[in-house]
Amino acid sequence: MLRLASIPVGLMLLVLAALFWSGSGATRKADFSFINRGDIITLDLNLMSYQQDFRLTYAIREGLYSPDPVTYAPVPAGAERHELSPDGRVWTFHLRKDAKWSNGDPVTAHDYIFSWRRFFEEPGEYTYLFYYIKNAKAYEDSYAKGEPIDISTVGMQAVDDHTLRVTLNDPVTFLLDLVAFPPFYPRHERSMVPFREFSQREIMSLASDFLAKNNKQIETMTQGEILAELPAFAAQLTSAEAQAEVEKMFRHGMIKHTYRNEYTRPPAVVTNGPFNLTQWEFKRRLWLEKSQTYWDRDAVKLDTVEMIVNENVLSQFLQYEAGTVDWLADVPTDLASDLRARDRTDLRASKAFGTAFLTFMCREELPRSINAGKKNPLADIRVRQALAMAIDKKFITENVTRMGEEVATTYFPPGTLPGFEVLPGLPFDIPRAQALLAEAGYPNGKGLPSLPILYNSENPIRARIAQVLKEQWKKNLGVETEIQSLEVKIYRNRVTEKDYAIALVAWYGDYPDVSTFTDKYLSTSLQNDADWKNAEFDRLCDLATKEGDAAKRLAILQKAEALIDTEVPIVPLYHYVNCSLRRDYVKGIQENPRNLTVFKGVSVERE
Amino acid sequence: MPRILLYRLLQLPLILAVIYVTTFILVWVAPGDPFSGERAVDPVVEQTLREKYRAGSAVQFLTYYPYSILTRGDFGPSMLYKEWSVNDIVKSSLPVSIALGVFALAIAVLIGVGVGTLAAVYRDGVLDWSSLSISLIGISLPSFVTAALLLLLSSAPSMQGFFAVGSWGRPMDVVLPGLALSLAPMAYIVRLTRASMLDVLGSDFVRTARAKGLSKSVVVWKHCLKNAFVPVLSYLGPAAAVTLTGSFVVEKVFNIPGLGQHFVNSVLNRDQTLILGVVMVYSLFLLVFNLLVDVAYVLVDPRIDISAKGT
Amino acid sequence: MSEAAVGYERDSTIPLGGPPETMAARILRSGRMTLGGGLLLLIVLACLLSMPWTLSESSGFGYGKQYETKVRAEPEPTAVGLFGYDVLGRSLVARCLLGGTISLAVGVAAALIAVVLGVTVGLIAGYAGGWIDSTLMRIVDILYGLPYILLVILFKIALEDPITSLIAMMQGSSPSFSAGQAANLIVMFLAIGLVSWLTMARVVRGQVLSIRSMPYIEACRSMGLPTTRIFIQHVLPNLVGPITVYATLTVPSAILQESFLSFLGVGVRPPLPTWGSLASEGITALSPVKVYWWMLLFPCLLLMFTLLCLNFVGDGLRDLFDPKREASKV
Repeated sequence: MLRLASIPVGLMLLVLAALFWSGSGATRKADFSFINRGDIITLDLNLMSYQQDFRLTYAIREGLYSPDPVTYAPVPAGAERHELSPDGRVWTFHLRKDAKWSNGDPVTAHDYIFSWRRFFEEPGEYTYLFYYIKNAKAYEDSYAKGEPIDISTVGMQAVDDHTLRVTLNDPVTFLLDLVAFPPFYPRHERSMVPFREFSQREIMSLASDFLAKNNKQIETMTQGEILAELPAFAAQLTSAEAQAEVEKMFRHGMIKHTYRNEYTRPPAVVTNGPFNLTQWEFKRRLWLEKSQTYWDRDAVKLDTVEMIVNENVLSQFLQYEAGTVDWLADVPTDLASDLRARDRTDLRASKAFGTAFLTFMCREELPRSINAGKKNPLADIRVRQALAMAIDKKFITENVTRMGEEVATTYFPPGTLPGFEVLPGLPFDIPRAQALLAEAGYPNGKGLPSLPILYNSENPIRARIAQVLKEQWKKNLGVETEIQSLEVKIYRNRVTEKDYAIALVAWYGDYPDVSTFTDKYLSTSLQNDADWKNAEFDRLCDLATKEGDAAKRLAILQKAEALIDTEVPIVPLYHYVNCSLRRDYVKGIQENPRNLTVFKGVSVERE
Repeated sequence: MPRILLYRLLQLPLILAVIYVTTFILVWVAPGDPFSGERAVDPVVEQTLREKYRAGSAVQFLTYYPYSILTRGDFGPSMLYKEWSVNDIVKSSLPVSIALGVFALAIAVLIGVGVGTLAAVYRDGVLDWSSLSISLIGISLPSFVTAALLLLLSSAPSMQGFFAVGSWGRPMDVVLPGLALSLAPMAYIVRLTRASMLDVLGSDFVRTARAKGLSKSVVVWKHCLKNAFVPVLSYLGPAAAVTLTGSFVVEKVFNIPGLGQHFVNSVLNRDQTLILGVVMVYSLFLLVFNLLVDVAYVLVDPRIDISAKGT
Repeated sequence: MSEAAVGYERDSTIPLGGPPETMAARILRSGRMTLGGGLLLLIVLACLLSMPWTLSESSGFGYGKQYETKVRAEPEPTAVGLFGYDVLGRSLVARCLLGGTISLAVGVAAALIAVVLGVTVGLIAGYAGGWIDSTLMRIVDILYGLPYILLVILFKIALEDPITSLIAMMQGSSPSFSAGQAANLIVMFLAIGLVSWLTMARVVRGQVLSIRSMPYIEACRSMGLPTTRIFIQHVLPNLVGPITVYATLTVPSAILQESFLSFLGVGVRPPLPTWGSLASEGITALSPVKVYWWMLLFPCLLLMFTLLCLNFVGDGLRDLFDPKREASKV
């Protein structure tokens, strides 16, 4: 019997041992704990594009300008001030002399240039934002071909260590907003060097041997330092071929390399923001501590910040209720609407800088996978308008999303950008919709093929919206549609490859300007998945880009925006609402359309 | 016995290699790719990423990664979690899944064998009928339902503070997810034990033992149980591999940083390197546990000749 | 049935576990299967017979019909509204019934695919022997070595497109049940069926091997009977038992797998419901601040009873076909 009893005891000991081995739990409580929108995808500036990544980046890094903790407008940060040339094309930024990296090094103009250059040499999703800079595109293209133009011809020069001159193709009135956006933040090259991987591995390992003989370690040298050694290295090479290759590298100032993304993880990561990332436990937590080298450290109110990783809606909410976290940065609509019904005062909702809409394929022919690629009825503007006007969007916001979202008739969310007014779009009008459809030759939907409504299957709200649309179009217009939910990766491929007829999509603006919305539908845009081509629209956008006067520019863009809203390549459904749960004792977080958080200004005032 | 063991051990790398290639082919031909994001990306951007991850072509992938695994034990970087290597991910999440799995298996075996034995002994009694029904309910509900119900239960006001929700690290944190995870194997073990116990109870040696005057409990718990355990043992091999490598549902509902979530997330994100990594871990567990079960057979019942059993 | 389900003949002489099996106990045991079978039949019939109403778009009982006013007014279950309404104001009872039809269809179809594939492979391997046997069994081993989640999701993703276009080519789209929906269902059947046949193949192969070596097969062969005849007349009938048992037990596991896929969002496409998707909708409708308990309770109850019954019937069949029991009878 004793032997039998030893089994359970032994098993329990095994469990405890395994538990211990799996890592101990919460060690200490941070001044401020929050749950982000999701887990961090990446903290590499080149690759990031998700809101949760940006949010953390604002805490640990800083650009020339940064969002103000109260107004969220760009204010001097890494730069003390800037000068603008009369034509609005040359910007000279004077860097703050006391700006320091977390390892104590000063932040210099070269760090900005190094970071921006990475976007040309290893293009990322936001590389296109740099195309405003003179010769940036030319450098990117020529680098990809292996024959880069001289980097000094690109419109970014370090006049001295603390002066950065940026030369643009056009007057960009919102440049300060751009430089306050994380892709424009500086990086610290020397701390990334241990994670560098060269493309020309053989040559570089020879170079490494050569440098070792001269008591230099390639693993600690920056690209510039290695380049300086190349002539000596080439001279002692025996193979003429290798010599030519090294000389070419020297001539172009190009040693092809990439960095393993681990450089963004503590303890290696070096940052310049108000907080340092000191701990990152995969899928568990990220720990931030107030930086002792940050120039404005006296303004930083929190000593420690913890981001807890929790991707489950229910258990997130339970953690908030239990007081484990002080802030849920993103509450899904489903839960938010129920909390709203209960009048929870700690539920914060505000207009978002984003719109949910459905997009129509506007090509003359349907993609081959739909109705055998026959004539596309959606290419007819009247059909698109009829479909748009037959949707009772109020039903969707009242029964599906239920967060008091504003019904959308426009693509750009009104009231989110000071100084920009949007003209109203198409109304909900069934008789007019029916008339338009009949005029287009499809009375009561007769003759229209049943088109699929595409959406990504893991999104429950879109699933319901698709079902509502199907019912409404059938009821109001007699139009048959088919619901097609696809696994998210395949859905995205279909949309970006323009292999769909109707799809549920959304767009959030990146930086506070109209162009972050309108640029999507330029006929040359990669993001123009409706394949809507309108010469007048393109002309207006181009005019706006060249316009140096901010007010005039917005007036032009207003006309461009109105074109989208009346020609309806897309049907705006509703404007998003940002929902979060925040305890009252958390101060310094204001609701704002882009959902920015400036941790510098956040404080916790518990009684 | 040692020879056959050695032979099976030598076979192991070969089987793993075949599984690696099979998985790779499956993943490579599946539509969708790891580098597409929420927005359309420039083909140049995509190509840059492909090169960075050495996934430009199947040949490039297969010439780099297997070599890197064999020489450095390095499965490469994850394509979804860009700052983490597959090794990092496995190192951080496998212990969690093992801790949880060991707990779940322990409950499943203890309760399962206990209840199953009692059900067989008091056959057709209330205990038999109810234990079977309850255990069947355990597998007749989707695990996401039972797990979510347990989570809600833990958040009831009377339970507050006792179980931390959505965190990991304290011994208490293991209990509820472990319970949720143990339901399915427990139900199976109850049924297996009951059936094989009934067989054993009817055999001649039990009758002899009882005739010799041994007490009922001694016969059941000392003599029968050992024999009745054999089928449970063969079930435990694959069950241990599945349980110890984590469960997607339990980890998702209770927010546990285990390995199970990566089986699903890596596939949905076409994170090719991570898929191959977790599949290799799973397959290794499966093969090793099946081997261990075969060894255990011999220990439980020396008459069994494992060389006679096919793989 | 009751006679067959009595259980082990020799068990009645067990010296342990109290008095020998009473008549009442026998009825109870057989009752388990009768009860299971009966209840199952009831659920299946309810689901199937209600199809004309649940599937139709014109009747007031359609699965996709949205009662806009009901959404706000009274979503709870009532005597008139029966199971209540979901968040879009659709009748839950209609959705549960149609969901049952689809879940059961997924279960049965996947089991059929598993039977066809598993039996074919098992028979070939067992009967051909030699390199064919070892090749087939190694393939089965390797598929066993892969996590089934991976396989089922990959199959689902990979089959979706080709099958949709295939069906669209064959029939063109009809309004009530489109090519996309049909293809989606077929993909579901295939994906789950394709991961469920492995055990079946192993069992059948094992049975064939043991039957092959039996003296009466030797006798048939020495009498000069052709292989196919031996196969059909003497081997196959002996396989019916295990095949039926495993097929019955595959149905509940296939239904559960579909529910898991629905939980992941890659299951049967809405608006078509399944018990799995209804249950996973029900879970999201349950939180400390909102209790739409009926959205979880009813689909789960139906799912649970059905799976319970299927398992009862499967276990009962196993007892029935147990070779040991057969032997002890002789």
